Amino acid sequence: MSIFVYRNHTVEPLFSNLKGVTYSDYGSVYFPEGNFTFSIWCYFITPAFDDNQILKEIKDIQTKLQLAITNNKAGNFLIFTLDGRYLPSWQISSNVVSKSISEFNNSVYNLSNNSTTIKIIAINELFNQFKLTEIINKKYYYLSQIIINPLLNKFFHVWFESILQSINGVRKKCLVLDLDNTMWGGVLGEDGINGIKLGNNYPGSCFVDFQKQLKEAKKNGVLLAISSKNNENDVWEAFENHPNMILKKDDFVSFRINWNNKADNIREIATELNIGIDSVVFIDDNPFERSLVKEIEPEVILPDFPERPYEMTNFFQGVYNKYFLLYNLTVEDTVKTEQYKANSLRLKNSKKFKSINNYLKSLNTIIKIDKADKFNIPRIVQLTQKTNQFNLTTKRYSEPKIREINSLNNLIFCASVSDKFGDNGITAAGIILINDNVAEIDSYMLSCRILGRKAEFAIIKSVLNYLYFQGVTRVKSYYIPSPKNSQTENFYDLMGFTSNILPSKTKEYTLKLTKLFTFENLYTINLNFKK
Amino acid sequence: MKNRIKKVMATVFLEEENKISDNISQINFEKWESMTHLMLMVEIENEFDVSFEPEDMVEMINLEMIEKHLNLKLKGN
Repeated sequence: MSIFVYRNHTVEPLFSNLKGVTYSDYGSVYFPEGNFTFSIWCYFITPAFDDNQILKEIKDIQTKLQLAITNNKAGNFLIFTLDGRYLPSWQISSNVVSKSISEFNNSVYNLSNNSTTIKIIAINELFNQFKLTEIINKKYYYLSQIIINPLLNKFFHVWFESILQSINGVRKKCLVLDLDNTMWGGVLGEDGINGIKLGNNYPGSCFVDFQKQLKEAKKNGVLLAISSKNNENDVWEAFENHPNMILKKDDFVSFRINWNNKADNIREIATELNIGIDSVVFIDDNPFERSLVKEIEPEVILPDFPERPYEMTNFFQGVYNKYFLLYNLTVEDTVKTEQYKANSLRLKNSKKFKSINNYLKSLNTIIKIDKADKFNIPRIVQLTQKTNQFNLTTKRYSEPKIREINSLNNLIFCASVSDKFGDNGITAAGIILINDNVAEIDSYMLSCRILGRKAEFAIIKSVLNYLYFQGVTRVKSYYIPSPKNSQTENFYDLMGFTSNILPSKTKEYTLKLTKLFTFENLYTINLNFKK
Repeated sequence: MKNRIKKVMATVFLEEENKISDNISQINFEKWESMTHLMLMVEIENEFDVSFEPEDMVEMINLEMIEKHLNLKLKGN
């Protein structure tokens, strides 16, 4: 890439990050020999004090610009708009200068609208981010005739580079989105359609606006896709029936709503759309998911999701500007979603799992398993009340009932999972009724926050190994189907239990406990069952 | 301090740090011209959170003088 810059002031520091830049003499419109990809018109109004002098200069810039365009031989001609906010005003009512600047800017926009090679760069977009005293630093101005404060160079470089990319048509293609706590507040599987936060009040209002932004991105040619740990039916029901849902199923070009790891899901989506994995931006509120994707598919762009809902719209605008902004759209861009949908092959069966065990080990996960006590019983009760998705029997219990069960010769336990990202607190619980040497798993549940790392197996197996040492020889367990818990349908089958399906569709399991369970050594497990 | 200044120089001049010698000056180092001099001043001000007067900047044309003026600034003169 080679660039020729027309300038009337010192502008070298603004483009010092780019290679192959040639500068005109100050105020010269002579176009040199050689091939240039871009010509850039980078003129600034000199900070003078006399309005007439300023008007004269603007007129002069206009004349020179016309000449330069006529003689230009570069492929693209980029014109910086003029911005006079640093100029003095002697009377509040006087608008001759600002009027003249607007006229100049309007005229260059008109030139651009009638040309495929002339493009406009609105310098006010950069200036708007700073205070007036930051924009022009008079020390450097008087030393070197630099208009834009050199301290802003770093911002200018980043800003201008993204503009060049958007002009070159370099952009990411697909935005893969999580659902819970990303497209709405709360967890659909736990809170239900009526419980998720999406509406007129904070924080639901932020998620509504975020969805509006996504809709605009889609209109501007960005492909939207979903990767979410959820029950698919629940999700489509929410998209269909939630009164404040902005996006609809049709807006998404592809989706993976399942319990697989998200790196696999993203790879499948990219394969299905026939785009490179490096064209994908993944937005998920959960740092665990982002970090897993980063480990397995490092080319995926993974912006840090903001902590507070009110920061989401600015966050997304930043992501859009950085990765998706185009100078202008072609018709093809705007119908992209439809095209990709038509072309997409459903490759749901060709799954290429990379081993994630190494990744899981690197998390330094610690699983702490405790017996129920007066401190953790309220949380255990809450888990039995609220957990829908990973819940084998979905039996709801009150606090007195839990205390009662706990006072007998039974085992109620809970588990907390922590890793290098932090402590998730108590996120699993189970109730095991003990009759002599038979253990009956009455309830077992995990919050979906900790799914995806096989902890669900490690926890129950550790507890059963403990019971084995206590003399238990047989285990009974159940899967009671609910509208939400289909993901646990084969959980005990995977653990080696034998099942018997009752007329009510409940699966009743038994297992002879003759040896210890083994499981992959991915975590540190602390079983605190003493006393 | 010397190494921090050299680090800034390396960034401004787009050079490896080991190419910046102790006796570097505007006279013996080609990339140190008027424009990069200005950028060097800006970046040193930034790095050490100081502000030089134009009169000082004119004198700061080698590593020794930069160190001298920087020391004066940091001592509060």
